[in-house]
Amino acid sequence: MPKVKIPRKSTAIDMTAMCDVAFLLLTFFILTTRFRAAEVVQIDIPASTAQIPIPDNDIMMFNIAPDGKMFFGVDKQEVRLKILDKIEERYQLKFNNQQREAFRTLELWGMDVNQLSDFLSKEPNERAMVKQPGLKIDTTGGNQLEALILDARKADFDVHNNTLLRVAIKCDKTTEYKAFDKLIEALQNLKVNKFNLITSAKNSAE
Amino acid sequence: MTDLHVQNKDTHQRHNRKTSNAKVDFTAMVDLGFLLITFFMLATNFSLDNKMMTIVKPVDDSTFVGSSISVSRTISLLIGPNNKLYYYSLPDKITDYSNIVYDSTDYSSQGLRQVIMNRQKLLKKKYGTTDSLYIMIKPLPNCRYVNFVNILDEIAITQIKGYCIVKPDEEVDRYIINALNL
Repeated sequence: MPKVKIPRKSTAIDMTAMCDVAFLLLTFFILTTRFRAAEVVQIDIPASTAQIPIPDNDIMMFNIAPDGKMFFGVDKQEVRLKILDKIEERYQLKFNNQQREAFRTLELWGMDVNQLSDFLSKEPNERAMVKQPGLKIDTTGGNQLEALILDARKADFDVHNNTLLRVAIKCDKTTEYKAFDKLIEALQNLKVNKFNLITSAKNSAE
Repeated sequence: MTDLHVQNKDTHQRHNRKTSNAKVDFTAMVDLGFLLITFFMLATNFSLDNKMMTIVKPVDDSTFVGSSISVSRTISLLIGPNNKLYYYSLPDKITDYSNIVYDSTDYSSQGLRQVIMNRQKLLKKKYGTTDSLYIMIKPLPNCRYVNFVNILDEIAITQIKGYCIVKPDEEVDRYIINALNL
């Protein structure tokens, strides 16, 4: 007599395809994104039809917040350290090794140079909580912004023996033009006449 | 997790030697995959969508003598606060500022782009080339940065070769600023 087979349904689902999808997506995200830098300030950049991609290295970055506060950063860590040397020299400051290490990992910063020492002595998570006041631009006691641009370019020259540093400006949509103009003026006083405005991509048709 | 190994008793009795199951349980691996995806989505942002726009300012050199451009070939764009844009074109010689014509427009493709293109057409009739238009961008200190970028973008779209960014401190600018109370 033939046996009646009752099909036994397994609760196991074949996960192979799902696994494939998951890792495919993962690969996609790894390749198309880059790590978000610790944001000192939220900046909503304007859109333009410009097509030039942002280069990966040798960037001197300025961020200008909606209230006009300015922040500064360079991408290469060895250049950052050299900048700190120049700051030490210029303002007769002394930074210890721990502070140097903190400055080396600092993506963006904006404050009076004289406050830098205090800021760098703080614990990393404490540092993230500090509301930075923005670079000191006023001309009393020397323009710190101009000095900083000069130092950054010199530091870059020391490291690469070449002036590769490109100026990139990331400015919020609602920032008043005069804040941006102050930066341009400082750059032009130092004969930096070429700079890049970072914008998000948009379609030219609209 | 969801994988319940329901074993068939009959078959189990027949081969008593342990045959290892050729099927690998991917559940944990899928979990790991999605966990990593979530992490990457949160910790990164797309690197593709930001572009940059290059501006080259003229070298500040008082000894440089460039070619001069007649005023009638220019259009001045005065960027005002609250997304307002004022524009005017002047004849070469002007004595009385009170009757100059200026108008306002917006930053859309129907606004500014049309203004630039109309002016371009007008000059093309006169000079024969589309490159004869020269734009003077005059941002007021309290205007928004986004408007400045908008104008540069329109210049790139309409392929204007000559433009400059200047301070709005000519007599005519002061007159308009006063008249409009900007």
